[in-house]
Amino acid sequence: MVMKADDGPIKNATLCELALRGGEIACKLARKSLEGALARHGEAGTVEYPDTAYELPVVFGWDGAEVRTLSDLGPVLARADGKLDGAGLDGALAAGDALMVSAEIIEALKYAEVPRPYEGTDYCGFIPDRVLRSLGLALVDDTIPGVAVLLGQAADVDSLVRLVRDLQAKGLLIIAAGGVIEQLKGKGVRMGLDLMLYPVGHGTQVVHALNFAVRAALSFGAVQRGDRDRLQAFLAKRLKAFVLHFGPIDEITAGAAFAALLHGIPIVTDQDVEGVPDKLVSQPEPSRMLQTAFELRDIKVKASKVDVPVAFGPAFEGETVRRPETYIEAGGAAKTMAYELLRARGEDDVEDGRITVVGKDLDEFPEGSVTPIAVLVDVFGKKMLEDFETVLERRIHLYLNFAEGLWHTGQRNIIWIRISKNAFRSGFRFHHIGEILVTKMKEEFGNIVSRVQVTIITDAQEMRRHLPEALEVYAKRDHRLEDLTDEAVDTYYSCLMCQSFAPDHVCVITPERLGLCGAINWLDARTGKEIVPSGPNQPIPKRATIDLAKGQWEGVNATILELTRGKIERFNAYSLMEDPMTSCGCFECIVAMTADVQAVIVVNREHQGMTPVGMKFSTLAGSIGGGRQTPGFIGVGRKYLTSKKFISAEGGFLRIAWMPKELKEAMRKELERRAEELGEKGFVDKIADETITTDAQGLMDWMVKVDHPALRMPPLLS
Amino acid sequence: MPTAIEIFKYLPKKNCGECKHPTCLAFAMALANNKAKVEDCPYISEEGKRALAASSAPPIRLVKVGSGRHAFEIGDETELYRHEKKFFHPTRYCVILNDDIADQELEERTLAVNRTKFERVGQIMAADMVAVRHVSGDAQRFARAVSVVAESTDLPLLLMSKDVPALEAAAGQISAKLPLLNAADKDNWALMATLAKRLKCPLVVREDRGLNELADLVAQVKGAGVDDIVLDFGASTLKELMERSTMVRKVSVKRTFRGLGYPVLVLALGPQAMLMATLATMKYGSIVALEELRPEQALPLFVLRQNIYTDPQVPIQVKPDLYPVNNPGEGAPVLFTTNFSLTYFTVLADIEKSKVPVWLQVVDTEGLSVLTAFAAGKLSAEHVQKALEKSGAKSRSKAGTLIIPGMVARLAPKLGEVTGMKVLVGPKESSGLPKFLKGL
Amino acid sequence: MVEVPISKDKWGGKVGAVELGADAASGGTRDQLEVGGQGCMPFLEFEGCALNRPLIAGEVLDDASELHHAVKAQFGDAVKDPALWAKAWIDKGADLICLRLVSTNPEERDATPEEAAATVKKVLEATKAPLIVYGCGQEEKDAKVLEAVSNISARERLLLGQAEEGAYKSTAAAAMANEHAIIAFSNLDINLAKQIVILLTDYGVKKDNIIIDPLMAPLGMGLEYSYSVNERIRLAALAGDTMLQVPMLCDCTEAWKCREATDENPTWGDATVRGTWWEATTAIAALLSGADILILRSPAAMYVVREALDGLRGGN
Repeated sequence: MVMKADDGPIKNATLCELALRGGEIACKLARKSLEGALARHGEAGTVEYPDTAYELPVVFGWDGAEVRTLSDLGPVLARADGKLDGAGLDGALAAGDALMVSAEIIEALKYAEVPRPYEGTDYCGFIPDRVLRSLGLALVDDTIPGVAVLLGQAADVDSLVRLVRDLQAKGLLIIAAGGVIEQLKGKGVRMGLDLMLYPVGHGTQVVHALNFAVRAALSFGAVQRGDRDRLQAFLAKRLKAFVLHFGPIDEITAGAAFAALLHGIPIVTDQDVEGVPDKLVSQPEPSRMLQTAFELRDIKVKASKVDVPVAFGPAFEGETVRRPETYIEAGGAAKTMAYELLRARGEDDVEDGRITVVGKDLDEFPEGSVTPIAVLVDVFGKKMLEDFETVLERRIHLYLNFAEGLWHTGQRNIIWIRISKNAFRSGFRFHHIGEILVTKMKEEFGNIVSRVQVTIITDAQEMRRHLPEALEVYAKRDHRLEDLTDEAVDTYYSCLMCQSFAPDHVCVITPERLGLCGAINWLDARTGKEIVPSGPNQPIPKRATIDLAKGQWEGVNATILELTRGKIERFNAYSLMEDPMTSCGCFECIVAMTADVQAVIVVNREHQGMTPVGMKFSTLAGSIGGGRQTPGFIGVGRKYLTSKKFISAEGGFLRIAWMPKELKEAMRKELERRAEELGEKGFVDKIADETITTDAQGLMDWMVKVDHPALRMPPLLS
Repeated sequence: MPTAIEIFKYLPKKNCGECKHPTCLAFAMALANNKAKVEDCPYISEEGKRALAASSAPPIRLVKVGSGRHAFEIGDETELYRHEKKFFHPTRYCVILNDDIADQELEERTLAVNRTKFERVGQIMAADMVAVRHVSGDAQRFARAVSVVAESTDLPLLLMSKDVPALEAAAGQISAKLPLLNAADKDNWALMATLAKRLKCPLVVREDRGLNELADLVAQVKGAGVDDIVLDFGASTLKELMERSTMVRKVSVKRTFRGLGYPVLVLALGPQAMLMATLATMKYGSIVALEELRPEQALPLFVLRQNIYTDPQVPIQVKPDLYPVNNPGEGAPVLFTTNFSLTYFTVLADIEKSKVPVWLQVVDTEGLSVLTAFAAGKLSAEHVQKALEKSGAKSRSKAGTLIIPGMVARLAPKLGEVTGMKVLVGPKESSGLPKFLKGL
Repeated sequence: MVEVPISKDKWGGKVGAVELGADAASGGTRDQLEVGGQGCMPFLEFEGCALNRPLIAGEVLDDASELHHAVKAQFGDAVKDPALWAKAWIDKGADLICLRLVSTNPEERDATPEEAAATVKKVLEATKAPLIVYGCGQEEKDAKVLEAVSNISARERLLLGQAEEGAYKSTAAAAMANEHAIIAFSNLDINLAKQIVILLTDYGVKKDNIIIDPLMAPLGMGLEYSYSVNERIRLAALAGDTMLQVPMLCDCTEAWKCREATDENPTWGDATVRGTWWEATTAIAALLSGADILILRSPAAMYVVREALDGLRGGN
């Protein structure tokens, strides 16, 4: 019986049924073969594969029995037969187990009859240990990125060949079973044990793919005879094998498929099946089967070098392209429309590596031109979230500047790009921007994106067509950031990067309080966790609120206790005075209580002069750094100053009475916005700076003179 | 120790500046960090003084030994592990000389102790103290020996005799030098205490039977009016030294048990003397007295002390300069790194491994490593250029090539402009240097 | 009498033990040593148990051309043959051997994995001591060398060096294939030390096969960093951080790179004694901060360290 998906998807129940029958057929066949062999050679007749230390590997690994002679096979087969009375998914897995043991017996018996049963055929049959040994650990340490088992008969031979070429180009090991062997041969694809493409054969011969996998575990995973749990664990984790199945599904194929699942090997089929998420997946489009399989097994093919005709690397990050050297310019001073946008898209909307240039390419412009430009990046990944878009999009700036002769500044729709004459002469064209972004995005964010495609548009009309989407996304993100409050999330993130020199310092990063170095906000930390799962950013569940006003939560306290190894029991995210957050040493600014305990001053790292609290930045930093809690003083990132949660337990933003002029001017816009939000228009000019005073009395006089709002608040210290 | 804010509550909040700090808050911060004394504030109330004195009295008493420029302080430690804050007062090394040595040799050997001195990363490392041990049985001889030694050195003295009258005669003549008297034991403690009190000298209390017995004796000596006490718990094996020293430190700083809250003297005698000195340096010894301190053993011991007593938050710095590595000539390139000692030593070792001649330019980054310095704005093209100018690098290397750390590759274009040199981006990790340099 | 309120830490955690070398009962041909198992800070047995004595590994190179003469002099011609050299170490009292296959460096002699494996085989046959094996430090080459080494010494339970962040898979695979133990290296940082253990266990290496090396910076070259990082790692392990509850290895041989250890200088005293103490002092600092295995280059230094170790453990 053969199933074809003519009337809607094949149900799992049908597949299970098929597999059970496959198991029965195989067992019967095996019994017949065994009876024949016994008749010919007697019980003492030897049974073994050539060149292996693992007898019948499938039996060795899964069943555990020692098989030397034909007499050893009876009990093994009986045990397999006994597995055939189940039902449903478990029954089908058991049937897969029985089928592979039966198939192993059938195949081994062929070798008991003639030493080289497949000599003269297109098939290699049993893959000897020496092949396994010659591949070595490369097979399991990701040097060889994976093992692809091609099974069945493809509907379209050309796409099958393309698939094989792709697999070979990426360095995968290929095992072929079924009609695909003849199809590939017909197209002149060379196969053999020394070519990393093993044509094992038809029908029960598929077991040679399985016994190969089992031996990989036995020899590279130090799995002992019959230790099914460790065998399964190793195969699931280390041997990154998958099955690509083509064409109709018969009983043996179904049984073999469940046997593969037992090995933790997922299957991608071109048939329309109901499927099991992450295990048995339908992908009718042959050109996408590989991508699907890679994503299932989390296979990452090492990014090749960025393929551009100019030098590429961090050394060129600081390079500027001056106007006379510029071949073409977009945005900024060129006053043309220019924007960039990175979006997380659906699985079917992103074709990995696809680069499209819409409009004129570089060589169609004369030297010294200006052009509008849009850089659109679409990514897909199972773990990719919309929230990560901004983190990835900000990287465009860095990556493009890595290219010699390419200069990029700004973000979103205020970007400004220059490409140098030299770069153009070296052959740089717009699609190289795509090459850079595809390679670098996958290299750095491989844990979250598996597909990247890039579109470069220089056609103004086409650009205008995409612009509304871009503007809408920017607006949405701004909204999201505004909505992204500490209350709106249930998880914060820790950052332990500074523990190397500040042993008890833990940055607790919340949506409204970024890391005190100013470099890592909540979204960065969240992305960081996905990129390096065991890295310095780990999620902190907030759990029950202990004090909403001061910003204290049970989960945060518990995490701090753990991460400071018992040194610090609690801290308040929004308080300066009571159990404030620890400070490491790389804070952008220090907030300090003033001598009259009525206000705070802010001093940034760059400011070297005296402050009204009587200490310079360096003295303050030396006193509060090193991972201690120092009530009255905290190290913060600049952006936290205008957060709604800025020392909100003590009156917040309006407590600020002094900050260096340079800092005030650099942040004026944000400061004014925050002041207006609080109904204190003109507040920013009530903040003194070093041109007004640098001593305690002077600051007090100033506050009275300008009627500083902090004067109306309760003192910080009673 | 209370926090700055807790201290601040007791201060007058006048911001008068008489304590040499511009504000009371700054003074409070300095107090909290052990960088000022409560007494420096003329306006603090008696109540405040009491409250602060009680809570800020160090769990281990600070004891001053000697006078003049070589006087030193020991004790006043607050931590069990150096990473928790730091170890404050480094171990002091003392060389023991017997009083039965003839005057001239005694003088020579004292001068030899004076000369046990090395310079390392800008610090002088030296022997700190001389002990005179009374073995002659002759009180006059002991007094004579002490005066010979005292005249030959400015280092503080440790006077070792159980014979109280002998010690009195010897110490009396030099009491202005504030020698450390050694030692009060269960038999002589009353007389010793009287002597120490009269001469105002610090006193070692020795008891090797156990810590309870030691604490008993200390209580008696203290009761007799001696405050400046140094403990000798008489460890005779490494195990005893390790355990007793740890117990004393722990009970003082974790339990604030003041009965043993004093600095510790370790007499490192016998065949394992150097091992005891090494152990005591890491495990809470305040003074280690040895009978011999040869330079080949003194150097590693002193460097160990320098390492262990480094403030974990203030890295050791190398002097910014141009250093020749592998005998470079004019044709050798310049390579720069930071003055953070660990970075410098690592880079130095890797260049040496390459055997390629290089001029190593150390840039002053205030002791920060490459990336940290870059992030903190202390390592820029201008900083590097300034360092090159100051060291005259460009006149010593004519190759016109500057190799920069891969971590700050982004400085390359700017550096090229500022220095006018050809900039090569080196490897990100120092370990890649041998391969990189050989490939030049 | 005054009762001193002795303060004793009570630890909830304990360092795991790792077996090195396999005896006949375990399918190997050598002595089997257990390392780790500490339940208290070093040498404070009154606060908990210290299960196993720290071990000393003597360093053997398969190419001694760059070896310091003060060390060479202690072995004579044995340095020309790793097997003899290893035997000399054991005769002098080392617990185990640390073999560095420096000759496999592709930029220098570029010995093949097979040659390297043959050297390992010879050393295994020369003594019954457990063996630590390092490649040359070049990632791609080490992958092949350690694979060959792992295979030729199956069931002998070597300690293979090393796995580090960004380059751990091939070493881990080589160790897993034949149940060898593995050195998890990190660069002077407690969180990185923890991270490499997590990466290895995620990869499938069992925790009782892992020994961490948090980088022992030698005396005068950053020893203070290592001393504190080691202490913090051990404290965290005892406090219950399971990912740090693994034995710690400290390689002290870098001490011989320090100029002050070996340069001739009239005011610095005898250079040989100085070098010996430089390495010994580094090693004693390692022991006091938590080392369970030391790698040493000089036998003279080993005698000093052995004496310190015996003394600290009260003669056992």
